[in-house]
Amino acid sequence: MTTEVIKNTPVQTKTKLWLDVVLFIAFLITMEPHPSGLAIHEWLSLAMVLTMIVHLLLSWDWITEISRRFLGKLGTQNRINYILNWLLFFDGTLLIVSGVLISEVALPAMGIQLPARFAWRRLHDLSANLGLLMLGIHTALHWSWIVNTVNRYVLKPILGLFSSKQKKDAVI
Amino acid sequence: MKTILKILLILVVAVMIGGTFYGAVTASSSGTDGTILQERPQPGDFPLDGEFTPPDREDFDDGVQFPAEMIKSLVIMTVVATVYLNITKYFGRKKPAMPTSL
Repeated sequence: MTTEVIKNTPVQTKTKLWLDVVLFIAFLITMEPHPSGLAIHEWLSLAMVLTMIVHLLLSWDWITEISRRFLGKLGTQNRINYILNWLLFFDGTLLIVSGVLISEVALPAMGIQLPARFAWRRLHDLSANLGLLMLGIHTALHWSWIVNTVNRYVLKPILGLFSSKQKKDAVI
Repeated sequence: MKTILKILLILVVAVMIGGTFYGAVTASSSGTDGTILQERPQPGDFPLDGEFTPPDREDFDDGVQFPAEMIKSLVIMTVVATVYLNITKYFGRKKPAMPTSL
């Protein structure tokens, strides 16, 4: 896992947590364009590209460290995680490229018209479904990190607020 | 400066991957009769697959609907994650230690 190799600062960890929460929700919204509408689907997907870049930048130390150690001594979890992340990157790139090529709202709004190709739509659907499955495994691989970080930076501060209030009430 | 270089590296790798995909799809379309990948299918093109709908704007409603589809995606991800965690737990379980002496 990430924490096995690289130790992040609390600010980095908190940023990562909230960024991942936003990405996760955005992915769920963009996964099905029918309920949200095509405009939200396309613009939100384009915004997710930028968020993904920040996500990669925040994990940069882990990426470089594992890339360096990949052929040497490395735990199985880290190896699986690394390969899965590359597959996610490939899949995400295909998702974006195919999405841009079949865009009906965002690109025409920017004055760009591309010829319609049905193959890209099929590739877009395929890569989205693959991405969903891989994101499930990605989440599972980071489950302990998610639980620990949510406990440390979300639940404990909230519970701490309540306990400090109770202490104040008891003193009064 | 370092961050800009990192962003550029990410974009370059993405462009390379995207370009490869684009080249592969374009090559496969020109390798056949060139029409399969160019044309949009008509509503009756896939009579056996009842779920197919042509990519028309009519498919997409303007308003925000009940997020049933999002819940479906969430359930799929949860199932995949649970299966993966259980598989790794099962194979990662240590065998019980053998007694050294009777």
